[in-house]
Amino acid sequence: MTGIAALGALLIALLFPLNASAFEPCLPCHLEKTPAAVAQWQGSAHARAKVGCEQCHGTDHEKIVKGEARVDMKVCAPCHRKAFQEHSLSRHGMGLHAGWGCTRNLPDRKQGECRFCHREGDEDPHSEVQCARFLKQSREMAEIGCNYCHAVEESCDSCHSKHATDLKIVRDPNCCAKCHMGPDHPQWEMWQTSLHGTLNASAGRAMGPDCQSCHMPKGSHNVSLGLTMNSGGVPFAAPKAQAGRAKMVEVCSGCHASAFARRELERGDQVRAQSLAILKEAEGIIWDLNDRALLDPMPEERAPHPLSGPRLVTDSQMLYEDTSHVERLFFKMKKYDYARTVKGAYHQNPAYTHWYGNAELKMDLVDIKGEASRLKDRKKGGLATRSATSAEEALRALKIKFERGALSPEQYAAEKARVLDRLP
Amino acid sequence: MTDLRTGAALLALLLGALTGCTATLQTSVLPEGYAVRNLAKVDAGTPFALNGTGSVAAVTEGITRVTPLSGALGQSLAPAPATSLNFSPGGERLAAAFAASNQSVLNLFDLRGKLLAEAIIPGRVTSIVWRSEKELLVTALLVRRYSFGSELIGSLYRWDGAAPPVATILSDETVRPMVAKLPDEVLIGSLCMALSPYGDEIAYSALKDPPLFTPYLRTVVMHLASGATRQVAETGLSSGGPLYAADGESLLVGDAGSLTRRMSLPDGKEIYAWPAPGDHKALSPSGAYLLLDNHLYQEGRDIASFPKDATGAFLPDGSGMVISSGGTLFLVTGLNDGRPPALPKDLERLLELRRLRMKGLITAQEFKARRAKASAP
Repeated sequence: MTGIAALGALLIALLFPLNASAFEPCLPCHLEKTPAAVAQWQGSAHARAKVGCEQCHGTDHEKIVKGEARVDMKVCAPCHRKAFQEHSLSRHGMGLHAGWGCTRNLPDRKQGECRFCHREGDEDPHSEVQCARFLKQSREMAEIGCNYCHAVEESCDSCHSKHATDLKIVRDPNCCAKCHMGPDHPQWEMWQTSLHGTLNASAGRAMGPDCQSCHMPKGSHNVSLGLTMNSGGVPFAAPKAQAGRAKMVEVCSGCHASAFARRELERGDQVRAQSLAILKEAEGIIWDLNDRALLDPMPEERAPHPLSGPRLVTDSQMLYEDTSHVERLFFKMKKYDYARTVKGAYHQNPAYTHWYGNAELKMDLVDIKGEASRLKDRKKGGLATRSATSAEEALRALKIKFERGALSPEQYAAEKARVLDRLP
Repeated sequence: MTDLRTGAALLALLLGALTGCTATLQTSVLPEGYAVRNLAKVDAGTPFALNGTGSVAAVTEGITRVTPLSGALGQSLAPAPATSLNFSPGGERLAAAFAASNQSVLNLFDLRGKLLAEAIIPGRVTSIVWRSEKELLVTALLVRRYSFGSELIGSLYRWDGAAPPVATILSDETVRPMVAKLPDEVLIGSLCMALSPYGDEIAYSALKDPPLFTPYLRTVVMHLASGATRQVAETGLSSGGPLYAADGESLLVGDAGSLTRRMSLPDGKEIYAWPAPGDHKALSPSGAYLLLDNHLYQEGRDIASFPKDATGAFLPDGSGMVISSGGTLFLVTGLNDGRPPALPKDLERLLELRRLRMKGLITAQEFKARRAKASAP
């Protein structure tokens, strides 16, 4: 038996002469149990640099088996410091926080989840950012539907894969497609069918830039360089936006005259401002319905919002479930159609900007106005049309509007006077 | 002349002493035209009520009776002392509450003493007010005693004399043992209610006992239809409860110390103050006369004073008042009260504006401006 073991060890040493001490404890078994992972590692820069299994996975095999020795960014950061710092500055560096929330009070949650927000022994979370939509999901749905993408904050392997280090993987725009696609932010699709994307397909990267060309220039891990709005499409304040714009123009200037690049991007700004105005009009209608207690059901009549309780939410924490029909229309308008219009414009994709985006956005507004009329008519029909009742309702709606800052004191007084003038 | 007056007073005292059975009301010099008549013996400190048809309901020797002001023989209503009494607006029905263990029996009688209706109210009835001929408002305080203090639950009951009374909780306060040990009359007296002249609101006092602070009474105005409430004052204990002024737009509240304030509604701003604690308050129908503790004011002037224990009520026509003092009811006549303020022609609109104001949907200034506009010629 001892002879066989010695022969095996000799064989491994012959096969893998780079650093016997690095894989000695793991490879005898894993060559048999996870040969593909071993093969990927063998071909990696890590293997060439003599970085073995235990340097990333540790030596506590029991912990590894239990899934408690995750190779997250903290493991990679000490060696890949520059990439880690750039990543931390980017929107990818906030990915998990944007898609997570405290699960303490939710049923069927794993204790280990706490580590996403808390360091061991620390009750204070890294970030107070939480996601209401995540908190509404089942555990399985949250893991597949949310964390597969949002784990990018802490997992280099979200893009780089687990054991291979070939940069070909991450320099391919397909790498981005697994998350940057779909109804809410189809950057992959809109790039693919834009002039940049079609040239890329026909003539290669030198003619048609890809995701990495513009968003990760010179290999930067800060994928948010050059952006002028947050992930919800809300423009940054001028100083931050101007700095971002200057950086993006610099990137574009690699192929285009900077004046041309600036003009193109400013055209996108105009589309964004026009679309935002449409969106705000619709949002105002929703709040007015809420002021008049016309939402069906009203926030206090449905499951409480995970972060805000029984209140109307139309900001980035808006839900698409446990909501009213008109809010659901607004969710689609904001999360899908507004995002498609704006991102379509900046990615120079005419169909996404117009037909998948702006046209839908405008039709959404028609639908929301129609639904608002229906709700108002229904209320009129359902109640006795006593002026006293309607005066009180009108005054209550005005009060709510004033308290949330939608009316100035002067406007509030004038509107109230109009209602009181109608009293018999 | 002075000698003559002194002689008459001595004669009156002598006659009183000789007869030995006629109590007299010790007053300051009454204004010209005023007269005092001994009405009936009553149990000291018990409630009484007057109606507009010349009857007074009171408790004598532990029996609740209705007696004509004319002095004719009265009618016994119940062989028990009422804790609260009040006649209906038309004077044909009397509501009386009787204590029974930790609850009260609320009875409706006609003037012949016939029992018309009865209801059981948990706790002790503290106030009875008729909102109309068909609706009675009653406040009651239920005291639950625990080792750590007492829970005082103040409730409003609305009763039509037919269906069971409908309760609304006005206050629910757990007080510390030191407060729970206060005399019953202080605790029971902490919940007092008054009805606005328009019948749309009540004002009530309720005890508050914040830990580490002195207990106090808060005066709250509540709109009956909407349930909207607003606190208008905080006063010391035993302040005697609130009283609406005749205009329905201000409230008289004593501070259980040295002042009684008239404050505007619903903001509680002081309009006027009298140098009296305000333990007992009564206003004549027009609002021209005010009996404040043992002093009678006319249009703000102190015109007469009565013994310190005096409590009183004005006759519905404003021509006189009944004073209870030293176990006797006295009728004081000769008052010259004006006509009660007429209800406005646009009463519905006024009530609606008052409702909107109580719900915080219009400001006091907007209310006043709208009222001024309505009453402009």
